[in-house]
Amino acid sequence: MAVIKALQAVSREIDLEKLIGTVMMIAVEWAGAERGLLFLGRLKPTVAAEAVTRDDKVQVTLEQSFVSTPQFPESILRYVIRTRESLILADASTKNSFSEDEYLRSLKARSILCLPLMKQGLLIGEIYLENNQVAGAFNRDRLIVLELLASQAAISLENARLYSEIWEENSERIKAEEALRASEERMNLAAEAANLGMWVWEIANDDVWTTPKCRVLFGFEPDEQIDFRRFVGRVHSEDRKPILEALRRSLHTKSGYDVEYRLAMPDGSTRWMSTRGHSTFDADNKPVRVMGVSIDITAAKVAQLELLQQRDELAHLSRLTTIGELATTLAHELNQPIGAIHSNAETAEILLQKDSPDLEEIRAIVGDIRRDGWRTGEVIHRMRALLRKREFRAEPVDIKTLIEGVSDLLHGTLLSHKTRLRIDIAQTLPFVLGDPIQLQRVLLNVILNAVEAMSDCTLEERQVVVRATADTALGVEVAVSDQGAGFSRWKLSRLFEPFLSTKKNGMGMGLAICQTIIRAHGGQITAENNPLRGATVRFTLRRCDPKREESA
Amino acid sequence: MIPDIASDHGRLRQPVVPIIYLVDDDESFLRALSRRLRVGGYQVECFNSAEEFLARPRSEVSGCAVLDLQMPGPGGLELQEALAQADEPLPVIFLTAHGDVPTSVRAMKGGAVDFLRKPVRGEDLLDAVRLALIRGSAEREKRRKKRHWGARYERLSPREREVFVLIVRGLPNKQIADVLSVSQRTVKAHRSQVMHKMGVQSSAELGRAVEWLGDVLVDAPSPKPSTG
Repeated sequence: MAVIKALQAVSREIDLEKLIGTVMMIAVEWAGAERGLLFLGRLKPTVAAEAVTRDDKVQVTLEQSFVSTPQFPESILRYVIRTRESLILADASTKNSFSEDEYLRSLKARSILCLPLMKQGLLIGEIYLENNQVAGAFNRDRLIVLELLASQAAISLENARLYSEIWEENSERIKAEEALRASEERMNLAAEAANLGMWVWEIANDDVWTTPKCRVLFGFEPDEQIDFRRFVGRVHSEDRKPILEALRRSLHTKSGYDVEYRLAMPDGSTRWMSTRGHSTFDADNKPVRVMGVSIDITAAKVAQLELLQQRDELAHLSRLTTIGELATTLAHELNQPIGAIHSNAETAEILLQKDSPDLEEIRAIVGDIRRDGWRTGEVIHRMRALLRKREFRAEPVDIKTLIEGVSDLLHGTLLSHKTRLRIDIAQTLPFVLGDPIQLQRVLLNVILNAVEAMSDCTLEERQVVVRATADTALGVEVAVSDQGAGFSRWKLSRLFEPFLSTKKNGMGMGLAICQTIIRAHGGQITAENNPLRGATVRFTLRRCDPKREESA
Repeated sequence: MIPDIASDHGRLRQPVVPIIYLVDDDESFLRALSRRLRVGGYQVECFNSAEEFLARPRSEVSGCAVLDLQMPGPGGLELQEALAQADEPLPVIFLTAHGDVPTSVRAMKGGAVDFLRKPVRGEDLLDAVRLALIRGSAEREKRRKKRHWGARYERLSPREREVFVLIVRGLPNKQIADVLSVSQRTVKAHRSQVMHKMGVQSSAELGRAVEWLGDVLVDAPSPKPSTG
């Protein structure tokens, strides 16, 4: 009964240390040993525990608590390891095959028992028992029970060891997980400090997980369920399309993406965000999730926009100054020689009316007139060179790229004028032949005119529509419409004349320059009032014909 | 030692051709305009810059300055200001290739006779020059008369200056004596001194001198109303 209990106890124990204690306790008690050692380890057995009987009580000391390594007869252990069989010495003090053992010689050991711990044919350890008081303490009957115990102990020890290893592994993992959690927390902390919001979109169940900061940034409640639609819904409607396109491109190319956009917050405010994201894919190359980091860049953006606006104003101012100075210089440079020519001609006329004209003087006058005439031409030539900053260079231009480029340029201006820009480009448009910089200037001018024409309109009305359609005759027609007051009949007839301005602070050079540029491109520019309200300026551009280009 | 006004007048009437001073940095323009003014009957002196003009030796001959508004260095307006400081300021006509309103207003306020745009019609310029010479000689005459009467007035004693004022006010000797608390004999003596020193025959002539004296004229006590 006691043996079965003992075996049950051993078999139930999975804690290695407790198991060792139990096994040694039972072994020492059952065998009636004075002292017992447990060896573990397949290749190099080491003492795992020592059990000592004192005052009828067995005390087990585990390896880690050893003051010094317990002594034992190594030859006996080696024998058991080699033979994998139990060994009993009834009286070690008598002459036997282990008498040469140092331990046995120095210590007058009497009864010795050593048995292997085997599990499925594998030696996992040994138990050594000794009783130095009496000889023949360990008999064969005891040995059978001990071997039974040993086999159960072996299984349990191995299980416990495995369990312990797993547990250790587990605790390592837990440690690693904890470290990860700690680093995540640190990252969160850093992220919060940097105003960063992190989010993960699990595509399979369409769930968006975010850090708390991210919810604050995007204006979500702490416990609000977020799916992709809701998440993207926060983005300003005008910026939504570019973001979705960036995401689509990123999923397609498996590369990260980087976008700047506005958020339309629930409270009606607008915030600028910058998001950097990337996606992960499964073995079938299907996207699994998209992860991103978003940062609020409103302050920086506002500063940038203000800077842009200032630069705009500065550029405008310097342009005005330049034109003003140019006009002054031109007037002076031209009026000097013209004035001289005029006076000289008058003088010559007067002299010629005399009876005997002073021909010498008249010759000098005519020479001066000729030189001043030449000078006038030179002035005009120089001015033209000055005005024409660069050569006209025609190349194939994608009207879509052109319009989008101008739209980008105007982004800040449109924002500050609270004006929307709607771009409507026909699907298949031919490339046009032109100087992109000059065409950009025309478009910029015309759109800016449209924006400024609506400065007195309500916010709802402030929309500029840029429409690009195929023009059957020429190639492409671009129309820019506003919702402003339109042109008066008088203005409409003189719209493209230089120095006519319908704007309070305009120079009136805009449309005249536009006409010059468009005509140089072989196109036409026209303006008309819309049927309901506002006006439309349209211009045509010649399609780029590669064949004609080659033959030309 | 006092210049005689009559002989001064005599000199003005001599057939002296006035000089037109042209100042412009454009050589060709200068030459063309000087030709035009010469065939219009004037003497012309040309200068390439304001500095050159200001450094010219003083001429007693009447004339006017035709100045280019825009010149390197001091421009026409600066030159006008410098000329206004002179004892005998020349009347000024401005020529400009691109004059703006504020500049022309400043020029006219500074006493310019005219402000003409280049190119300028010869007749317009000659009209302006004629006007400038007339205005110039009138100004010159005014300054001369002012100097003449001022110098004479300087010679009066303080008492004689008081008597001068009272005579001009039309007070008889008796009243002047009352106001100044002196005898009528004394007043008569002062009156004859005033007439002599001012070089006039009648109190009416003395009255005309008053308008050239302006603020140099001292004030005199008013007649007491009780003594009438």
